Amino acid sequence: MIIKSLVKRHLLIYVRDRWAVFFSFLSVIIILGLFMLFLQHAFGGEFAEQPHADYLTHSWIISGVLMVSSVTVPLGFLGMMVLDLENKRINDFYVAPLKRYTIVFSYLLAAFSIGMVFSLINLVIGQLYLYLRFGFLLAPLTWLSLIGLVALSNLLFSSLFFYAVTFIKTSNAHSTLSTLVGTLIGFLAGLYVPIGNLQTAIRNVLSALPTMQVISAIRIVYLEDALTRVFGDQVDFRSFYESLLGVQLRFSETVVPFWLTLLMIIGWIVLFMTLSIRRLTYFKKQ
Amino acid sequence: MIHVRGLKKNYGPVQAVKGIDFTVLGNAFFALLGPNGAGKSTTIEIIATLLAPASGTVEVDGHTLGVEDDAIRDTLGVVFQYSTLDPVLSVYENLKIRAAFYGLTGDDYAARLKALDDRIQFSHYADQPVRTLSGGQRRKADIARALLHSPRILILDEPTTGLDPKSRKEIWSLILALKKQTDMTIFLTTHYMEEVLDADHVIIMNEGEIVAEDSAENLRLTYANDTLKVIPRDGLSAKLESESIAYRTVNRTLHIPLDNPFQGLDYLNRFREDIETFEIIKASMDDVFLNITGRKLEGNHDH
Repeated sequence: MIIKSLVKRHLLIYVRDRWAVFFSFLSVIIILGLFMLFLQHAFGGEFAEQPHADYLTHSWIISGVLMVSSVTVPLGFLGMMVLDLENKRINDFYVAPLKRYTIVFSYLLAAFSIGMVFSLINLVIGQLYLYLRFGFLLAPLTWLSLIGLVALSNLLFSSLFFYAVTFIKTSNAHSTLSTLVGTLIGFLAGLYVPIGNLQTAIRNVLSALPTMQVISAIRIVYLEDALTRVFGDQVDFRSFYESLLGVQLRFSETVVPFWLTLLMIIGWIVLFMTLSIRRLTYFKKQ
Repeated sequence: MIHVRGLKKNYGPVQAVKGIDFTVLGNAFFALLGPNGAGKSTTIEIIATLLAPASGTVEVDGHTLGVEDDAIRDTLGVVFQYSTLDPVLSVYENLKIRAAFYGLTGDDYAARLKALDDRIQFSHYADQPVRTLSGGQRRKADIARALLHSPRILILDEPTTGLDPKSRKEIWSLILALKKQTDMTIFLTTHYMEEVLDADHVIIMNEGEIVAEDSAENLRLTYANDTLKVIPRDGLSAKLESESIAYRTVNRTLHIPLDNPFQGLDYLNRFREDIETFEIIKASMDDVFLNITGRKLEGNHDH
């Protein structure tokens, strides 16, 4: 009941601040804009001649956007926690008979909730767009898998950024972090430049990051239908483009299996949840 | 009701509170007076369970700080110097969310809201976002929030600071009405002299220490003198000096400190022909503070 009230409060404040919502989506808007202008024409040659090639490139960018919003929305939201600490509004909760970990956990839960809501909206809008433009809709089981994956993604980035913002004292510092993440996310997720075009060493570094692991897992599920339609039984051709587009998570020539990618994501979640719990001492009485 | 013993608090090398002791009796109107930086807010924040003391003990309504903090929080309603309500939410939304912290929902909440509105009268602007309210309206909403769970002790940390004179007067009337109409203990911190005059007990803090405590009237009688202010004719100074009566000259006027107001009448009768005009100035709490600490209370700024 208490945590429900706190989460409701956080969500109400976030959605009423239209600029905060807009800036949480700025990276998504920029990525979509860049795609419209440049990226969709980046895959020419033999690939462009394949049937349904456009369906694949559009699905590729929409699956990327799904992941990016699960990074930027929780981070944008957690600015509220920084602001509440900065302007001491959190004292109003501290003087009520609430456990401090309940108060702190409410921000994490709200960051995850708002991230999930926007991810699901993205998923629905993306599917609607693909259906209206290409006439294809993903199977119900694929939808369920994607919902599970965006839940993991939101949980991972909510806990990661929750941990990060406990080191931040001011809204200005949070804005700087948000700008930095918003600028880098397109590169970290292999959206501005397909990861297959990068040098092996850089590709390996990016593959070690949670952003690439999450986007790879989402792409494996999201793009299965499009890849099958485009490449049919041309296994080598498909494998080449899976590598180029970052569908397969690779370290040098080794392809990481889907189950291991999922384990890595869960490992990140466990790590950042543990670190966040350890940081609860930051919220103790000083 | 509140017992504080040997309370100390440091911020790094700075000793904000230097081992203070005091007791606030039940149903009392208790005032903590001092300039900014005296340690008032730190003391309040420790009592309100926001800060941990460096040493010392605090007991609130029989509950020990650091052991029974939740029980203390149930006992206290706190109005901070700054508004803690969410600016983008309406007053009603703010209150409803916070009422849930105390398990106040449904009909219980509605009944409590009505009772608070009868007393504080905020319903005509309670649908508006807090950010659109005037300073006085916002402060009333802060007080309503602090009273949601019917606390036994209301802590007001400089509740009128930053308000315009009209709003200050309104808030002050509300505080006095709360004192009259309820049996709550009111614990006020302020740096405004006139606000402590109604208090049952006043503590004066300066630089982390208690420098005096008593009722406002006793403090005034003990630490400050009424003054007979006269515009003299020729010869009064010489007569005062010959009778060893202390005075100081300010421009054309002579200021003669009095042990009590009747001493003033005595001087007026004795030196009537040497006085052009006069007035008796009652000692203020400003004088009390000045005489105790050697510094003026208002207009001081610190952190």
